[in-house]
Amino acid sequence: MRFIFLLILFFSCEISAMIYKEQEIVDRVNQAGVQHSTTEFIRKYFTSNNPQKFILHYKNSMTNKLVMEYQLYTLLDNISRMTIQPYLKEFVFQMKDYKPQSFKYHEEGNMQIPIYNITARAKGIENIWLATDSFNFYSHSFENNPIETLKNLMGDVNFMEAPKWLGLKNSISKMSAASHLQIVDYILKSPRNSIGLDKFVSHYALLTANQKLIKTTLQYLDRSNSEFVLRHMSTYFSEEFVAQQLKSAVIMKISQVFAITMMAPYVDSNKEVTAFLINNLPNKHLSSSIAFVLSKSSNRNTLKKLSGIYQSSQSDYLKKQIRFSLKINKSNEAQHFYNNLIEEVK
Amino acid sequence: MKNLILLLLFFLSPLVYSQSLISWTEQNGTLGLGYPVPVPVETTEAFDGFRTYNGLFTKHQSLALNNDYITGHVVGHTRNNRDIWAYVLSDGNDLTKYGVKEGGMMINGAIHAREWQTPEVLTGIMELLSANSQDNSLHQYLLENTKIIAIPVNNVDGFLQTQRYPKDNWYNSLNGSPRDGRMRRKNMLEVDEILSTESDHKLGVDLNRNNDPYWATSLRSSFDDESIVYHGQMANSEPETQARISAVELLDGVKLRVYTDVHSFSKVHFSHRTRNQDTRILMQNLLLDFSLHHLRFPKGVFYLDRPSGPASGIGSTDEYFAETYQVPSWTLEVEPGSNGAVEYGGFGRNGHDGFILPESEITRVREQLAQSFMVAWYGQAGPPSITQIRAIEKDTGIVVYDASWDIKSDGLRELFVNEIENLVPGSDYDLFVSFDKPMRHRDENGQIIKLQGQNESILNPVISTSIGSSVEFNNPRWLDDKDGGQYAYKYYKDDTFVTEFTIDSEVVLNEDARLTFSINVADMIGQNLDSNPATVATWIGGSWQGYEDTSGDDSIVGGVDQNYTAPISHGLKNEFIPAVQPTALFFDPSRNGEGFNYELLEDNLVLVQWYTYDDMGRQRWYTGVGSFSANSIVVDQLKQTSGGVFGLDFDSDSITKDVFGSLEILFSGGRPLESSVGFHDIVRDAKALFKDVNGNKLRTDFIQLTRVKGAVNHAEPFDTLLPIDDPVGLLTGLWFDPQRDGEGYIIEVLEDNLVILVVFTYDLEGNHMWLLGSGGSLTEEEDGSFSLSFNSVKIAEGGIFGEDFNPDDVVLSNWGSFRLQLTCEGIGTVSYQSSFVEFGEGSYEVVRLTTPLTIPYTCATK
Repeated sequence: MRFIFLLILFFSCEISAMIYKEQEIVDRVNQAGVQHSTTEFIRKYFTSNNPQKFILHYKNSMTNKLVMEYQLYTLLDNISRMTIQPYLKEFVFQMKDYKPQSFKYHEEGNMQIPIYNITARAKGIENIWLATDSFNFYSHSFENNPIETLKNLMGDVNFMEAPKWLGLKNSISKMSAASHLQIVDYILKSPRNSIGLDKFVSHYALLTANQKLIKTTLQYLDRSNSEFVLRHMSTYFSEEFVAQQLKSAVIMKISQVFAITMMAPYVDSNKEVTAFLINNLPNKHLSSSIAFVLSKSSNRNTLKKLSGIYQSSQSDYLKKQIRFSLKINKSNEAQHFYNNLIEEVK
Repeated sequence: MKNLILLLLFFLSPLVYSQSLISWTEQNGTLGLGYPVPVPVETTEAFDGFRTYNGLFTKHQSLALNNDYITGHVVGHTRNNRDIWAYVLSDGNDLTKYGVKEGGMMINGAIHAREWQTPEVLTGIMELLSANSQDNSLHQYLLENTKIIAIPVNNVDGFLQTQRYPKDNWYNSLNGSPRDGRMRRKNMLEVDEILSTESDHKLGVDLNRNNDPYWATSLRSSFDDESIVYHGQMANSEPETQARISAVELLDGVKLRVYTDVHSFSKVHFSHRTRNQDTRILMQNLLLDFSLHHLRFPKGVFYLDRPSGPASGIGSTDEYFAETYQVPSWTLEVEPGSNGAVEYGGFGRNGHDGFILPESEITRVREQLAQSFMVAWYGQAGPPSITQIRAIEKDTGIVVYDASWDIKSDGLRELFVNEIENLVPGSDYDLFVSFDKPMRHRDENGQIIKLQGQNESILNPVISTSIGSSVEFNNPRWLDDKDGGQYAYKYYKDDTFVTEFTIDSEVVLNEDARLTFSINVADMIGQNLDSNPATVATWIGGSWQGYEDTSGDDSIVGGVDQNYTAPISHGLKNEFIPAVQPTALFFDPSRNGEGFNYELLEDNLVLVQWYTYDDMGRQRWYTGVGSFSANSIVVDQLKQTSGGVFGLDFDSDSITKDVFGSLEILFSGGRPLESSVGFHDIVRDAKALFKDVNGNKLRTDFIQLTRVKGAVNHAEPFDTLLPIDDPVGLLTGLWFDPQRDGEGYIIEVLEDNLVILVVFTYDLEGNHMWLLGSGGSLTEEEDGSFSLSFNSVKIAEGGIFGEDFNPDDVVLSNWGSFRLQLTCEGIGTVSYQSSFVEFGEGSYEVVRLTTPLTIPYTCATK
């Protein structure tokens, strides 16, 4: 096995490649002549009656591969901002398999990398177009049959691929009120039916700022998506609602320690959050993340309470967490309490 | 349509250049990613995303606070005077569990600020090791046998700058190069933290060009302070570089064995080749182990090694560590590969998008790379070697042969051999082979499987003998149970292999015949045995040294270990079978002045006390509960008690117990006593092995000093003896005051009705104190209780713990007198009067805690 990989390593080294230094590349492509011919090349491509033939002829006629790859890359850069058209599609498809001939060294080590990564750029363009296609598809589909679309998503793992997902996500903002009503109704009626749609439900509930959806579905989401909701709620909802959901998450053991840390912004502004944190401080499973959150407090009463718990506690573990919380809290109040505790320990 | 395109082209012409502040976006655009632009989240917890520096830092500190294996150290400061932290992941000493110097591993992260994958990977390593620090397997092995240094964020200033502007950077439309803000690579030398300041956005030093020995020797670094690869004014000019270099001092005498600088992206190892051919080969193997392990995760990501040319470089950190310490050293470029974000469905609009890993990928990258680092470090922890070979007769459980490697003060090992009985053809034995590392990997169901990425299909050692096919091996298995008595692993799951073997009963043997075992096995990653454990395999000068092949020659591949040869005969060599001697005091005649006491209890338990000294000649006593079977006593945890004090200030709640080490005692076969004493008519010698928590061994011989009344020590089975109505026999045992749990009184009533007393307590300063009263008198009182008087109880001092012990140093002096009033039913009082005024006099109510296995005495005739 080792031998096979050594062979792969040996044969994967680029051979017969032209290697350029950074300055050589800059000097070459910035020449006025190259810049002019690049503009011309692009103009001719888009005005050619037969772009494929034009490209074929171009590739055969270009002797300077560095310039050629620069121009092809620039052409792709232009295409990446355009909508899909059949002749562009064919060109991009061909460019995905382009074999680079002009290389430079990787900044950190002994590896030659294409100066102009035409392959990556072509694949990226396909992804851009895929996102557009996906947007068009889901905009139409959600409008015509939102529930069926949802059900189909459940059996389609591919919808989570980045371009398709981006298109789908963009389509949510285009949905009609009627579609929204149907979707919300479907999810709320039987939230368990949405298992497998975690990513859709989490994003949909946030993007539509639907409190009821959040409250109902949070417990059914997988860890990744429940944490996504927990960390993005504050963008869409009031502090009161967010704080309540975070507390619920802790109580229902939904990403408990993560939910605790998301309470940090409210530690001084929401008394219920503060009380909740202090009450749960003795919980060994939560105490280190609560210590982190309480380290954000500059409220004298909160810090005094912490100090009081420290004095009365018999638990070395709890005392350790409180000392830590005060130590990393850079407020003057906290440092005052911390120094007092340290003095007492001495 | 084409006119429109031409119009568009006019505005998009490559001739229109500008330098501007622009943002990375999810949607298509100049810096369109195709997935959400990650924004760091202020949390300590790992999630599908990136943590802020403060979140990561607090996590590191919290791990250090809550796990004794992790300590944090400030190793320097940044240009902007922020602390640079390094974390040591290791136990508190520099020795392996086997008494040899540990190997050092070092890993550095976030030297380039924009490479957010890297501090997450290093934090993932810390989280993985912390979560599994008690797994009795690979992770605990690494923590206890290596010293790992992790610098999660080397370029703190730069990293904070990227997180301050998680979406924004300067953009040069001429070359498409984004700089500063999210795309800052260098440190913050002469840079303010305000992104909109255009004049300084290209400044800073590339910390991966600032290093000896190849500083400024290549065109791939630059004197231009605006260059992305500006190497600084001189080698090691930057405080971040100096901090990294000084972090090695945390190894504190341990030698570095491997270094990795974690970067992104490109999915390669950039290993640095020195001129040492061995290093090249070993590094190639190490990186292959890493990469093949990683490849076997579901995503199938492979890291290809792209080694440097020999003796040349660009001023990178891997070159510094490779050349300075002669160790495998490489720059790891974390995924994606050179196609960048396109690998995740991204838009590929800018070649720098690979620095922005999608949030959806970081959990996998963080967790899986952390695991692959464990594999690399497991290899660099050292090649495997055998620590012990032991043969146990299956029917009786008697240890008949024991060979074990002991580390000596000169750094070499010596094979200690204890040949207790001959191997006898026709008998069935278990052969135990123990190693100095966990040797096998198990799946979630506990089944032994090859380690992910390894091809080794032979999971059991290949064992052959000097009499070939006359020995049949059966039922081979690795041990993963610590509570399995003799069938327990030593320190880590699967560090011990056992197989049954039988020698052909018809085999023809010469007089003085011996059976030699040859053992051929590789560890989890295919490293063969060190065929000569006498010379400890360690990393020196770019290669393994003391790692011999089968011929005994120096090598980097190891070989077959054939150092073990046991006596074999058709007859037994002992008159009486090897067995544990009964409850008694024991001592080593060459170490007169210290001693052991043990009591054999029900359920094969044994209670052991050891009365000895510390390095300064002060008294120490240790206690432990273990088990006994056939001819062995094993105490896995011999404990040191502290927190007590002599007299009325004693508080049981202040007593703490720490593990001091382990103890094993192996008894030989027996020979007749010259004259029987009570039920004692056989004598057996024993050899004791103490191992402290650092793996240091102390061996001592062990002979019986006292004959406890009723303790049976002859061939007659114990349960055929009838009960004897003699309450005196029931006084033997451990007595204590329940209000003073943490000190006690050992009483032994001997066959001649003289009594021995050992008091283990504390002095007035809380130091250990043990007192010995011998020849005590025993009187039965009218109320049926017994009075035990010791008029001259001695205190000993001056002995030195361990190999430096000299009996001539021990000074015995009179401490005072003790009187005990005890009942057969197990209650009584202890009174003392000390010759030392400060100890004075006093008395306590006591109860009996243990009654050792003796003949079944009763209180009936009281």
